[in-house]
Amino acid sequence: MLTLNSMTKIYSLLFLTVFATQNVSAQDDDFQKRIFFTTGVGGSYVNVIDQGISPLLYSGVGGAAQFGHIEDREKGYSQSYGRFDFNLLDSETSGATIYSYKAEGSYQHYFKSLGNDEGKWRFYTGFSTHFKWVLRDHTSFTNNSQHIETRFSLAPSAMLRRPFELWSKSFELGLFTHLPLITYANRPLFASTKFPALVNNEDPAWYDYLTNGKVYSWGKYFNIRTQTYLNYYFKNGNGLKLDYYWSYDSLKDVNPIKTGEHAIIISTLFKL
Amino acid sequence: MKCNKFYIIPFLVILLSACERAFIKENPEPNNAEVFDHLWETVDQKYSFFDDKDIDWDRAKSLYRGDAVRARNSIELFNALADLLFVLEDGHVNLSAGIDLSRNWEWYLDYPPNFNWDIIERNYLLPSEDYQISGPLHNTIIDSVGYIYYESFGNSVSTSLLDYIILKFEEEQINSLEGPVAGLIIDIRNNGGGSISNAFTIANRFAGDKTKVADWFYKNGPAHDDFTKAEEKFIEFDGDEEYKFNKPIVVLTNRSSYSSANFFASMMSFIPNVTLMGDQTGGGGGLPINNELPNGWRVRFSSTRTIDARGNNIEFGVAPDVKLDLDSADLQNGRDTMIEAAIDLIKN
Repeated sequence: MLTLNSMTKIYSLLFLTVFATQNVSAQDDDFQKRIFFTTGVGGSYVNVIDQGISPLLYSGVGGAAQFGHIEDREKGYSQSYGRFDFNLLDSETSGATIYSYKAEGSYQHYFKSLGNDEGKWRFYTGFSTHFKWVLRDHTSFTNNSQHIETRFSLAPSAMLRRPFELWSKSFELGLFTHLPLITYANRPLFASTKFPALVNNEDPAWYDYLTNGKVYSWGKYFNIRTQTYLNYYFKNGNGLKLDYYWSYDSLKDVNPIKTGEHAIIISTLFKL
Repeated sequence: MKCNKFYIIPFLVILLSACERAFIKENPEPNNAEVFDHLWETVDQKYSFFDDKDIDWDRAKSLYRGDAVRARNSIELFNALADLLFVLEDGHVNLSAGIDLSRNWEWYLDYPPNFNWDIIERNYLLPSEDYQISGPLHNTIIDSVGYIYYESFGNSVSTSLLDYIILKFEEEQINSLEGPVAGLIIDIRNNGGGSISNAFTIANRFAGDKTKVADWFYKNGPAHDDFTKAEEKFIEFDGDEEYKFNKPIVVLTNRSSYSSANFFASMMSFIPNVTLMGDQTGGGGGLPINNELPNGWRVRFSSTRTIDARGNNIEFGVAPDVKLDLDSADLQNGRDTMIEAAIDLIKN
């Protein structure tokens, strides 16, 4: 667990990381702010070992639906998305099946640090917040079939992007990545699927499912999350977006969890 | 770093993501010792009755680990692990593999069965013109007393179904009597349990004002005495107010009334017009959970404790108010001693 002192250091580091990047912004008087609303669908693949359920590796494919926004500004960039995934996970060893339902949301805010707007790579730094809720339903279990985990992370993040033209068409290749410093994680009781705040709570409120969690940082919790994208812009300003998301996640506590998630999403970009 | 070198980074990320399985891997071929140790440790940390039963789990490890390590095939390994789990003396503990299912049967095999479905069906249910099978509930009227047999709490029961059965027992237009029944027998003999929510549904239908029946304690840490604070459990009337049932109720139990049936008997004992009759229930006061072993076998064991509102640990069963066994002479004559005694108790 984090001490107050170490928490302070981490917050300070985060603060410096975010704000130290702001003074290198490039200028371009002709820049036109663009805002897009995005909707997409795709497929995902998950590997997970959740020791609260099993020491076995469960893997499987599934589908995903996503919506979000992108705001491309002269001095920065921000995006958000919400996504729902359903995956059918199997263990080769036990032959059992887990249904995995995941809802996640992310907001990222970037400040331009390096590069210009003349077709070169541009480098941004900023911060991101990420929320994840996962329900894993082991179809062969009875009283403890449904395991839920919730995460909320705050992370410094970085972004690379490069607009380019090919066959007289406008494209953009880019990459986001984030590495959380602080994560709030909520798991069920040690040997139950019941949440701590629900014990002797006959009429729980929605937020009771989120309370009594723990704050984790490196050493106990590690996560790297990346998004690689290719955008194609139509002449009317709308476009299509192809994303590849990858996340590796490791929580070391009682009932540790390791998760690897991949998703490919095809989205439409509607210019607002 | 120059901007024009950045193009390498997206490709590095995609390469890195392909290596993820190096960090997320299960033990591909666990040996016998690893399977045994995983089982022993999981149960050591998550089983709920070590202190209540005064179990020496370390000694059990020293007794059976050698057998497991020396096992030459899956059957010998299974038997060694089953022997380890047998020490827990718990009907909720199973080891499940494709080849076998281990279980401790002692909670009822050492006692008289006190149940004969053939006699109930042939001599009490089928001869009655009121006999119906309403969902999972066999019900009829025997000598002016309502009778319900519930075989498994795994079969769902609704409040509206119970409302109907009570209506049937109370309204002469839809039964063969010229008046309402004198009382009710709820027979849960040989009911091995199922969903605890069905136990609450039935108990709530016959309960009065809100009454505390038990405290539940969840395992919340690896030490044998790591439990949450008490979660209080209550029953309270839920059903058609017009057909509240305030007449005498007898709940029939035997040693094969286990788990949710055990908890149901305990809850019903807190309703003033209820009498428990028959043999002590088999027990099973912990909510069982499942886990898996590194070789893919599945284990189930209790992970909670239940203390009833009188302070009794119901893992060891619920004692009846009227202790009674089936009489062999009655059996010869096709009579169920408990049903007959329950009718006498209700009518007198």
